[in-house]
Amino acid sequence: MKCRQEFKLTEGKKERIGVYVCHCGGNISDYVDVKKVVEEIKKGEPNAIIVKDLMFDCADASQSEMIEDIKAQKLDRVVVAACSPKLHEATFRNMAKRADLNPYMLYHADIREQSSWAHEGDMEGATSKALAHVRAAIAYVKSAEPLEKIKSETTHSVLIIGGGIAGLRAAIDLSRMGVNVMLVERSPALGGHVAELGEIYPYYTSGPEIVKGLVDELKGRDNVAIYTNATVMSYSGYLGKFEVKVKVTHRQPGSEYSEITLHVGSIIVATGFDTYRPPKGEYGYGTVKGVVTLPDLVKALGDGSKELIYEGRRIREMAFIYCVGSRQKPPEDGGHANLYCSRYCCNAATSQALTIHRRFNNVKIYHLYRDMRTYGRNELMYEDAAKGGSIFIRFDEDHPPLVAEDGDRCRVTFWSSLIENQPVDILVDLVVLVTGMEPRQNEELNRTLSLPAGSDGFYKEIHPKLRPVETNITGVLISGTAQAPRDVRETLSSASAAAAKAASFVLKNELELDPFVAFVNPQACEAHQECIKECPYGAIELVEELGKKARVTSAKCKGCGACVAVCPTGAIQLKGYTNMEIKSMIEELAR
Amino acid sequence: MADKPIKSDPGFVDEVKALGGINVEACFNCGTCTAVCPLSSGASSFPRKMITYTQLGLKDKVLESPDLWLCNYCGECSKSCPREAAPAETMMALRRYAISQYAPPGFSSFSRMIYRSRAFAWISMILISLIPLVLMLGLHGPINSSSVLMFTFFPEHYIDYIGITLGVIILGVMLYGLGKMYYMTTRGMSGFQGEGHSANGIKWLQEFTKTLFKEVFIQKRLDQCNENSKGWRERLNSEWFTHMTIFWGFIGLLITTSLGFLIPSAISVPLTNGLYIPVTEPIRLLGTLSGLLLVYGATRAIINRVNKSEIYSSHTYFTDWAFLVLLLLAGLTGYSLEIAYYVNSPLLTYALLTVHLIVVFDLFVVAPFTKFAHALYRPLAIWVSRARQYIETT
Repeated sequence: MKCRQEFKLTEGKKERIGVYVCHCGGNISDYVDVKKVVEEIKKGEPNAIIVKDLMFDCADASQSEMIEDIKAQKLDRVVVAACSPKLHEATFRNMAKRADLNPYMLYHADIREQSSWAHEGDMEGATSKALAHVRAAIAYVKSAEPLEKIKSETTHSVLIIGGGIAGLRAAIDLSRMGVNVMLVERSPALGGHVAELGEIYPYYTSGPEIVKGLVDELKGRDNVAIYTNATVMSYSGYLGKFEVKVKVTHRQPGSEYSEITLHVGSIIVATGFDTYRPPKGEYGYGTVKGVVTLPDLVKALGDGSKELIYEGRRIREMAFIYCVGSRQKPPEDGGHANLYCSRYCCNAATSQALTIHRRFNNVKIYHLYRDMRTYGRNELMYEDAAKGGSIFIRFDEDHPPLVAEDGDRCRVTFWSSLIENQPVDILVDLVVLVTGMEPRQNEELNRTLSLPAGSDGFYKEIHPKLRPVETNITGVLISGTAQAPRDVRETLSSASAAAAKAASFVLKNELELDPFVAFVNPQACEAHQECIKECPYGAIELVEELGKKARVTSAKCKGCGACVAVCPTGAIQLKGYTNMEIKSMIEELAR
Repeated sequence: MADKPIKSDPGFVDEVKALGGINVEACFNCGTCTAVCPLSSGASSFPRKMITYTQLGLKDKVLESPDLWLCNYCGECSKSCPREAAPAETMMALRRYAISQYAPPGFSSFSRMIYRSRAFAWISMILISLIPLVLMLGLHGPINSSSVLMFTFFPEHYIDYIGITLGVIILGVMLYGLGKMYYMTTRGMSGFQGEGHSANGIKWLQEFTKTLFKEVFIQKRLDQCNENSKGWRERLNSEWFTHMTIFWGFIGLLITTSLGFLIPSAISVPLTNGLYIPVTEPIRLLGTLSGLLLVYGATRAIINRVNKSEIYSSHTYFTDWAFLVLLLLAGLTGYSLEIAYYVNSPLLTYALLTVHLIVVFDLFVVAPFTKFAHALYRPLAIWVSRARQYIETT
């Protein structure tokens, strides 16, 4: 790792600054008097060697002009006053690079979103605000230091936690791309929940067949190592260089377990889900004979018998009750379970109904639902089920069906708005509670990984659209139902996405990361360790060899600044956002 | 919410499917059918509600609702159904179910079997036809082959006696059905049964008269079914016109027959000897014109069903064919009889008279158990529905 941590002050040296104020066509100049800004800077800032206004700073010609200026005038700092840095900061940093200027000696001041657009119709106000921003930017670049991107070597291997279909799919994809794969599965067998499923719509492939297909593909690949009965004990390191300790339990007598250490460049978490278990009494679960959950039904259907019999009871009529444990009210309104829609359950239940209609004659199925969410292609399945003898009845959240015993059958009472809210009784032999997915109860692993979870308890990605498989721990990726309730197809696609992302990390020999990370001034550090407690990424440690000083692992640091705020001696600071840089900007703005 | 739950009958869906509700399970209760129906209204909303009742096995709800008969089977709902659940067919099937259920015990299962089994229907029709055939073979008088002596061949008073006996039985069965329908559709409604009934007497009469004029005489609701055809040319081609010709043709013939029986003296030429009555004679003229209407209407209805040109003519049950064919045959044999009589062909006349009387006999026997029954059930349902609305708004 090359990471310059020294911190030099450049006082006394005469800076040579270039300032380029943009019109942005008229987007800026309509409300900011660009010429006036240029005049004021020229007047007040002797170190500003070049001060110009350009129609479009980002235009190729403008960029060439800047490069010429930097080279000819030996400029060592540049301020671009234009649009939001979100839009063009990278453009101008690349321009600086082409001019052989350290890209971090450039500051991109926003005078469009912050000035002209925010103060339409107030030319004077917008202009003075823009001027203040440019002055603050000049103050920043005066105290700026050249920075380098952090470079990190990578290990060409990936750890996959979880041997369900997501883990298996990711393993196959990575293996094919030439990445070494280590797969860790807690249970003795691969396949997870899917291995227990019956036919899956469409094409009616069974769960075990899907798992077998995936496992067969992995067999004979020499760059894949699979550890079953194995759990992750601890992990350390950062993107490109993780070290993971795994405990493997042996079934042979003698040695109970062994611990192995894996070195990987990236980690994919594919730990799956838990099924919602209704509490005793919910829709008669555990109190009325013949009330089961969807997974119970799936198991019962697995025996391939000609007649539908559950615990000795021949099933002629049955009822599915949907949204059990899903889409519930918040606890303050009396809800006891999950708020979210589990998405897959409508489809799973309808698919089971279709299987029943196809396999057994004359089984009548009543589906008591709140909303049918058989999205996409599953809509066809919904229609097929209805045409196959299923009857779908909507109930209202406030009037859920009641389940009671009636002789040796179950009586389901429900209210439908289509029958003047008069209750209707149906007698059935089996009541199936359509339960959803819940986040896997996996506290030990959660503590080890400290991955962020959303309000629903599932692992959370950085951005659902822009960065759908990455977490805020760089290099640790999530996939499958560990992230959200998903069906088989969606689980497999997200696993492939995570595999592709992991490969994009580890197939490079060297990774480049932004240089905006924390650094410690050893002279000032008094080992209070506040920073260590505060750091959400575990990037800071106390190093005895340095004489009990804090040290930042740059590749782990996200530059959030939490440590800077709590350090009592000001020993820890952020590169690119040093106290001095920020202070000088504030002073200039307050002037 | 405190209401007592209604029991669901899981077999009801299959019953309705067997009666023609071909795809009722496919319905996902979107309500498009009810929205596009030109006759459905806030107070009597259908067909979705009826389909829900069917899916949930609530057969009493179906029998208690007059809404079933407010539908005139235009087929708009089936055209717009996103699930191709054919709501119009379910409505039709439910009416068949209601006809069989309103009939007296015994007749009820007979009716249900006629709808459900084609073989049973054929055998029944043949057996029923045997009754008048046997009677005629046993009771006919001398066959004069030199000149047509129709009422010597089969005395007119025999026809009257058989007709009156049959009429009384049929009327009894129909009255039973109407009574049961009235009881079921007004059950639990204040103002219909028990107290408060007489207080609304005049209003009832008003509503009854309105129903009679609007829904029986000019059949306004059926006309409303064809929302887009308001010009006379479209009207003449509409289902409404076909139906009107059949209806008025039938009524005309019913009146002619009754008058012929009640006031034989009003007819100038004595009938007993079966002599020719001039075409210009008023009652006879009425009969001839009514017969023309009936034959025209029945023919058109049959052609529509053969061509399956509209939703309402695409699904034809045996009972639908039987009814239309019998109507047409009644008209055709009637005219053939006249021609045979006119050209003085005695044997042909006697044969045609036999066939004609068998057809008319069959037509009346199956009337309370088949589509024919709607002629009485529908007006009653419309009247009950109007009265219910009146009660609910006051």
